[in-house]
Amino acid sequence: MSIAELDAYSTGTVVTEGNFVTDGPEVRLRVTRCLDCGESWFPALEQCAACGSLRTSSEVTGTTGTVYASTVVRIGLRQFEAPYVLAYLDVDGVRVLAQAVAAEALVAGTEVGLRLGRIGSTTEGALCSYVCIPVERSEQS
Amino acid sequence: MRNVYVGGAAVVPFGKHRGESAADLGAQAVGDLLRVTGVAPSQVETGYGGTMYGGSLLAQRVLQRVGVSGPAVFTVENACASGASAIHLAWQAVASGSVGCAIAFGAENLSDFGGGALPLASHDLEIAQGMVMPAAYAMRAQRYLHGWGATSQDLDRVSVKNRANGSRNPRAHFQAEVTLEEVSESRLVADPLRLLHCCPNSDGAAAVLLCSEGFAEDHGLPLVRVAASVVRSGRFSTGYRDMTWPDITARTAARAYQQAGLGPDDLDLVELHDAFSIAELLHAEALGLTTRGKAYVALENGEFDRDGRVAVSPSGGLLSRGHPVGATGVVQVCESYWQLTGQADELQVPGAEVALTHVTGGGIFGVDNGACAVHILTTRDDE
Repeated sequence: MSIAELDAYSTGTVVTEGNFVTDGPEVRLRVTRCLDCGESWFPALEQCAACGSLRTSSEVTGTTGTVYASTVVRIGLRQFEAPYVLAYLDVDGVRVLAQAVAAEALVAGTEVGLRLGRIGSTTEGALCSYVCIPVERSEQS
Repeated sequence: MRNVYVGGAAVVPFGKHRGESAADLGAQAVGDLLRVTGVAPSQVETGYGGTMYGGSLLAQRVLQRVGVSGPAVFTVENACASGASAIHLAWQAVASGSVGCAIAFGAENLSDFGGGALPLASHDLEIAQGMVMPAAYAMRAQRYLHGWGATSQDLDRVSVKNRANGSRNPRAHFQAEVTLEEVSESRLVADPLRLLHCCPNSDGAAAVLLCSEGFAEDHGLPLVRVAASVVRSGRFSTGYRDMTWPDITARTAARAYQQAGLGPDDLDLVELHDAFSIAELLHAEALGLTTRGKAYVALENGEFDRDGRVAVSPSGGLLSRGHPVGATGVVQVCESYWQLTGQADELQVPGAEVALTHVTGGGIFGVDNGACAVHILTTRDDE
């Protein structure tokens, strides 16, 4: 399914589109693993930024992660329409910042799913990207 | 490498200076520095100016107004560490023996940006998702509280202490004390951080003279030795990492202690980069002022008070003194110079002989911070 077809989630400009793929309504991140030192990188790199090796593999992550830390941004840039929840997520070896579909900051350790969702808007319409949803909520929906 | 000394300091008080550009403020600071030291402009052999938003060739635009034009001068950008990076480069110039006298300054006018969070670097992956600087520190705070058993009241205590210190500092942006209640009831900015956990955007400038021992003696300047001057960059990683341990601070400080032949136990005072209240707890631990996970206990016990075991931010810190980004690293050295020469008036830490200054900054994704600088100053003899 193309991003454009996910209109329930993605009517609008997709932010950092090249950094992920969609799998139904779910999102997988494009990452790089270094075959020499083992470091993981998101977004994907051609050259390992830890050891400089060019021997890397391109992979996609699973569709779930674990919250490392989270906050509610109450004063932010206009296009993100505060208040909104941000979270650092640990996803298959990479730590990624994403907005969360939640009313409050997520507790560390919360299991989340990665989806395509709305993260803000501009005068030209909605901004969309990967977002996270606590697993229980996404199962109920 | 030869010894380098701070030979003088000057500060344009931090606050709101609408209508005065970074160059205007910088020229005032550098002009004052030449007056208080009695050094003629022709004796200044090089200059470094730190700024983030002051624009191209700020160092020329400042120094030429006080009669320093012709020698090599450089404008230095390293985000919140810009001013301290300028000092580091001036230190290198004197330490190498290539010059006997150098000026380093920092100058900034942030009023031009209006209120709210400062713009971070553009085209950054996390900023595209809605990251702002308070949120980055808020998540470190949430994780620290989660991991070490501290509470939001411990964050409040940092603000109360530093605002009390700043209330004695005529150069501070905020000169009013705040209570625990006022902090805990202030507006949420990024949970758990509230408005009074955040430093203000300020305008201001600061300048220091760095020189050789011979130059200082020729001019009768009080001698404060730069025992260590170290700058480090953030280590890039997008993997799992401990965001409650500012690795960049730990690495910079470890090198500085080694260079100085001193350790955390030798410090009488520390001017620390408390851009947000949580930062004092994280950096106090990474600087070795206390054991891991115990900074909030040391704070509550009064160990970081002006008359405590080691005074942390006796000038008020960023929380009270304000944060004109590029000037912060320089004002910390100015305040420490006055402490070590017994000129700190109401801020004076009794018997202060060794001071450490610490800035770290730059919100770019994948690193703790873009740059960190640590200086150790002392009136003790070189051993």
